[in-house]
Amino acid sequence: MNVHLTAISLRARLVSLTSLILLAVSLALILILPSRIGEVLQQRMEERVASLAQVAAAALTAGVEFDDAKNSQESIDGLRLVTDFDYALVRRANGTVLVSINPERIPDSRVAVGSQSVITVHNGVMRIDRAVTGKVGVVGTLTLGFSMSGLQLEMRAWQRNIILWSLLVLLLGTAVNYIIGTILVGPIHMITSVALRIAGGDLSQPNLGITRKDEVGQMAAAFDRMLQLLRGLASVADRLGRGDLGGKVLLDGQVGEAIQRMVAGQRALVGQISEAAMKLGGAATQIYAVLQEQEASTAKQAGGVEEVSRTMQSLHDSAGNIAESARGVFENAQRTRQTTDGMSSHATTLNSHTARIAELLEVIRDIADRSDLLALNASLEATRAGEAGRAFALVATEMRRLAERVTASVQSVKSLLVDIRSSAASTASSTNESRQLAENTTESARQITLVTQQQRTATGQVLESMQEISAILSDSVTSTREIRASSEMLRRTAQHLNEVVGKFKLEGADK
Amino acid sequence: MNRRAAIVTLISAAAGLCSNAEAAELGPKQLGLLILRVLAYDRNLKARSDGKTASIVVLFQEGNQASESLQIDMENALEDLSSGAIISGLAVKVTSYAYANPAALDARLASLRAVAVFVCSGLGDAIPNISTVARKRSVLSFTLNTAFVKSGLSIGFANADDRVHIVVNLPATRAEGVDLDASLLRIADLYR
Repeated sequence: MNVHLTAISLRARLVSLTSLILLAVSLALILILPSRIGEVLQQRMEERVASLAQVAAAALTAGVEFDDAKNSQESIDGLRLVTDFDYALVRRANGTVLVSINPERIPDSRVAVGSQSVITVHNGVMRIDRAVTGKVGVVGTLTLGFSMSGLQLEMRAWQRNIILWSLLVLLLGTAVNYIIGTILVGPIHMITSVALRIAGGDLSQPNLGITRKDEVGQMAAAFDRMLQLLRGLASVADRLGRGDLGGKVLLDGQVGEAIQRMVAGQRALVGQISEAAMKLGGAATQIYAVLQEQEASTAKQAGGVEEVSRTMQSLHDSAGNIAESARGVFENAQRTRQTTDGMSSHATTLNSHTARIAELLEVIRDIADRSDLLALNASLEATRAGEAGRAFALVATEMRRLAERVTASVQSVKSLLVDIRSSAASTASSTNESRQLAENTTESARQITLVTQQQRTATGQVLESMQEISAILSDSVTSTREIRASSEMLRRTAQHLNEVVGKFKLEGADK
Repeated sequence: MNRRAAIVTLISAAAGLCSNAEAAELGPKQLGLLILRVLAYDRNLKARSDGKTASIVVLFQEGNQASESLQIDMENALEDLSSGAIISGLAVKVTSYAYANPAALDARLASLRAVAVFVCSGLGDAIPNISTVARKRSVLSFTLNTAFVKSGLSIGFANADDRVHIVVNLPATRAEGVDLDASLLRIADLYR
């Protein structure tokens, strides 16, 4: 039911309700009032008939008392002039008729009359029976009849008038209610139209301008205030959209406070973003610088590794040469053992020299071991990022020094070998010694060959490690460049963010 | 004349008479006025007349000073009142006659076609005869002495209780051929 009611317009409901009330009142008037008016009219007629009977009885008193028919007839003849008069009958005390008017209309029935008049209604005629009292008491009775057609006509006229007036009141009431409803609903329609345009985003609507003092006027004033608030909100939103976070929000109430809090929050957020962007820009710059340094350092490391590699290659080549030389020594020693006996006399010297060579070779071996260890350490260090790369340079340097020492030792071996060759040459004459020396030399050369082969193997492994380190460092440089490019991009982003944040106008916020 | 207005006037006249402290004795003029008013209530007045005049006879006892004095006063008063007066369409004519005997009275009344006779004092012994003649000639009889009414005359006037009383001998009036309206009878003191 509520759905049906709310689907009907307010004006229609108002008109329907009041029309129903008016219709109910009209029906009540039409149903109740005529009967009530009929009762009143009948009562008035009874009173009038009673009065007429009383007057007529008074006038008849002398005529009836003195049995004066003419006098009595004259007395009742005046009743003919009375509206709705129908008949009259005057009886003597003994019941005989003295005079009458229209006796044919008088019912046969007689009514016992006491001190009070008796009024009866029969066949649309109101009859009254009354005693006629003279000086000697009751001298006769008077019976009068009055047609009620006039009363019925008057009742019908009343009923017709009531119906007409009720319909007129109903129509006029409905029309007035329609006009009042239109007057009441008109401003609401205007407000609804403006509200729909506002809902469509059009805030350019002028104020309603309704100056009424009633509830509708109050609603219109409230609507104007709401429209003003929406305009203020739109203005604030426009300012915010243009990045103007400065100035004061001149809006009252919870909405104004919320907008103020929102603006303050955005202002604080923009401030924080600006600060973060600045910090981010600084950090990105620092990262960029560090990465530049790291890249340079890595490049240096790569250079060091390259140099170490070259050194190790030289060492490797030297070891090869040594092995080749040792092989020559071995061949020479065999040739010496085979060809010269004199070398046996210098075998002891050669042996001592060979011992020295063995010691040097031991040193070489140690150096090779340390080089290997350093290479390992360098490899470990190289796996670390940043500052650890610097330590690798030291390792590389150390390895370079070791290489130099190896080179020097080799150089010493070479010179010693020259001495050996010289001693071998001087002792070639001594076959035993030479032979013994040749055998020893052969053994030493074989051992040198073995050692140099081992050294070559080690240096080869170092070279491989160096190559791996070089590859790692190359990858590291590539990664560092990519990181530096990213940090550059980050710095530019921070700078752009700072520029964007800078577009927000924060001045005047605290004024 | 409107009957109801007349009776009101009659009552007023009676009241006016009694309102005077000296009205204990009715004057000739008042008596004459009452007689003329009462005649107006007679429905048979015109039938009892000659159709033109309402002849009123003042009957007195010759040689009786009081009777003659009253006769003179009444004749003068009635003549004054009847001048130009019309009752039931009849002009009023007043005649005095000294009572001698019933036959002479009968002849006189017959010759005058009298409609009323006022019987002055001094004729107490002749009342029965006068009544007989009046009834014979259908002449309404008036008197100032209510005792005469009781004796057979029709209408008398009396002063009592500070008001004038019209005394009506109802059988006598009907015997004299008078049909008085009940309205008059209602205010009168009746002998039935």
